[in-house]
Amino acid sequence: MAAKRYGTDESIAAAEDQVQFDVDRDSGVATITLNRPEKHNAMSVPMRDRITDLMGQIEFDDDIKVVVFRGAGRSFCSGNEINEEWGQRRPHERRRTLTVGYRYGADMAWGRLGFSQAISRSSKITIAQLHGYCAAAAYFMIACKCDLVVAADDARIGALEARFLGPAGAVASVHINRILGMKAARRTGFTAQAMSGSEAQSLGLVYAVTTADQLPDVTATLARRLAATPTHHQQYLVRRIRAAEGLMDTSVPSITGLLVSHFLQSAPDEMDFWKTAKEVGVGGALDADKKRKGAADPRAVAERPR
Amino acid sequence: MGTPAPLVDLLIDRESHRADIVLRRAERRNALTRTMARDFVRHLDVVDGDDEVKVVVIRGEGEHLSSGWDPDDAWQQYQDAPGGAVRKHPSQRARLIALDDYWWGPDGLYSRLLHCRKVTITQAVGDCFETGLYLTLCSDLVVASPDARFACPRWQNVGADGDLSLLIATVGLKRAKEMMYGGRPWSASDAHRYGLVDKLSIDPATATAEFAGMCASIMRDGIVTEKYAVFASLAKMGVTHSFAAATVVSASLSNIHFQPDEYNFLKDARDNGTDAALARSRSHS
Amino acid sequence: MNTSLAVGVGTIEVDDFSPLSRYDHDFAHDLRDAVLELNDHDDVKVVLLRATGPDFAPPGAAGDQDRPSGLPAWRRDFAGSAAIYQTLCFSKKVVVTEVQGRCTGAGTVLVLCSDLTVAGEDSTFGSPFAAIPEANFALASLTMRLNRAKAWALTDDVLPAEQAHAIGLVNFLEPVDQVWSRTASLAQDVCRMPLDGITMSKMLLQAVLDGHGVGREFDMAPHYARDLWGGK
Repeated sequence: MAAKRYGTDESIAAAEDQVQFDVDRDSGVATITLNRPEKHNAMSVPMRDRITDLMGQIEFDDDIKVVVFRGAGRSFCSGNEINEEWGQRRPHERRRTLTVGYRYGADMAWGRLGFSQAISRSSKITIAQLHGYCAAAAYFMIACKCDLVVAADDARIGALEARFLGPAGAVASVHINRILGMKAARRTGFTAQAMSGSEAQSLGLVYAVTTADQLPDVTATLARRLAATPTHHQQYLVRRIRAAEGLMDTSVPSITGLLVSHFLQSAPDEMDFWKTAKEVGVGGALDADKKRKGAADPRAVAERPR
Repeated sequence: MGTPAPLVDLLIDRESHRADIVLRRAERRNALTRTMARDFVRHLDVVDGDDEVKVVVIRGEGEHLSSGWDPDDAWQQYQDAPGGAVRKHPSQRARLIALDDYWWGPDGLYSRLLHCRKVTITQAVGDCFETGLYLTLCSDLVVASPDARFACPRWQNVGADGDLSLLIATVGLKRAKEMMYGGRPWSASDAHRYGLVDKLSIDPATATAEFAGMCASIMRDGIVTEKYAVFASLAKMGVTHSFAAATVVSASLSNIHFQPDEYNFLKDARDNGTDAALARSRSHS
Repeated sequence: MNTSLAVGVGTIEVDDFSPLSRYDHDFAHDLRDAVLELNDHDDVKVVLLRATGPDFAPPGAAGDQDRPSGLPAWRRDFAGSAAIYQTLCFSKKVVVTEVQGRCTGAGTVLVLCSDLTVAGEDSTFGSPFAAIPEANFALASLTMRLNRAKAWALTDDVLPAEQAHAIGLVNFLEPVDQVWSRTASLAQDVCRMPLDGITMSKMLLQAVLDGHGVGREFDMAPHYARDLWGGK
């Protein structure tokens, strides 16, 4: 019996084109391209499921040595689609029934079966190629789960959704604490400020920084170089890194994810993001959020520590 | 005569969702006594119970955040603890109980600050020594003025006994050991480069206010939920274990033996008073 | 190999530490014994590892296929808890490495296992993970942060001194002619701490490192070794 696929007929049908998959069998580099540029590549449920499926497929393809994640259009990815009908029986059902909530929060996202762990557990070398926005789930479920990150110097990286949805684990993630250091993990989550590619490099998230127009070439060169490592040696290195990450227990304290994803309430003096989004659309809600007191402009980049 | 101003003050501004816990003992470089630690924790209880507060700012009056434990209180705390005055020297249980109750245990200052449900911001100026260093480590965000210095001078006198997991997770393993064994304070810019300080500013009050404003714009449910997730991850990162180990090691270090050629800080402090011993230990190099 | 003792500092000098990368069992054994002796010496607070040659641990000639003489001997002399690296990592003293020139393979394992590192501006640091299965990834990750350690292992990049300093692998970076004096003043600073205090803090550190997976990562080395070398 096949697992139930969540999503509308349209969103399921669209996912194949919205998450494109290419393999260059000569170099051993596979590319997963998020291709929904009109929405800054926001990931629908079927798109996330497709990433999980692709990572499973890649796992058993011996030709593939390196996997590159990238985004089409102006941004890498703005995170999960936040205004989506994906097969709930009633609107907002995920807030009421845990079966569906578990499926949405854990199986489709941060849990053992979710796409983020499919990336972090991969036996291949994974590379994220970041430009424009890399926000919310794209930040902590893709960029932070890849082995190497190459970023445009002016990329905007971080938990930018934190002000209206909470940091959603971006502060608490042991993984992020080990990548950025404890203080920077708190700062990025609790201020919702974006890191530039350069700042993310000085903190340790990003391996290489370049200009936006050089980004594809720099990433491709790195990917081909790593894919050219003798297979046995590469597998030895990846396996020992995965084992050590397991020993260090860098997974998220996932039990809080459900709360974070589904049950947060806004107080009377706080913007109800979901309600606002329903009335004026997600873009309008984002604009309304920017006008709030103390709001960090997501277009502004935190200064680079020197 | 009114009541004397409290040495640890609590100010709440519900309009901006901000509370300030202020050390007001500038004439002693904000050295902390047990009483002050208790008052600090009581203020955290108030803040945690106030739904209008989203951010807590920790700062000191005067030119220094804190010079550490009050030297006169440091030995007395062991003698006052249960089993502390039975014999000439405090029992090991007394030392453990004092360290746990006031500093490292679940109701102690450091643990309690680390488990505050609101976003905590420390404003680091001047000497941030010992307790000052741990206020810095246990808060979420740190704004420092260029004159801030971070160190744990007691470690040089008796040995390193603090939590190490927080320090390692913040600045890295070899930097943590540098703090333990190098004995030289870190400048504000070093601390910034190492990841202990979030922002350097010649006007720390304004920089703190900017951070506080950003944090206060996050929804309450988002802040408190994330803090509980942080508590889970602190346990996973070994901080709970490390605090317990720090209590044991700290109690043990309070009765170490010195080699004949070593400067005996504990004896000097007993014979000549702690201020004189501290001054001597710092000129000892 | 020459061991000397002066005011709290036990110094172990060799030409360079590359014999460890070539799995020279006698060298590993002698070095371990020298460290052990200093660990138990009551006049010693600092153990200093110094290479007198131009490089701390230069790479071997291209095409070298260095392997230990069998896994049991490798565990005894390199990977086991009584062998050189864990003897250093869990030493009762403060271990200082002084690095000049090239530092690769086993040399970087020594740097990761030591408490403090003083390096000359000419030094470079190669990843130990490609060729040394007993290198400890948890230590690297705790030292330089997770993604940097991953990138170092996967890309095999050689880190220049300045970068090694910026990411926390090196504590103090000095012009080449001032490395020795910097090490001396550092050792003097460390020696201000009472001996009992040093010993106690190293006990605390061992508990903390165990809690962070460092001990278990050392114990995984035989699995990594079989993976790298086959079932020899």
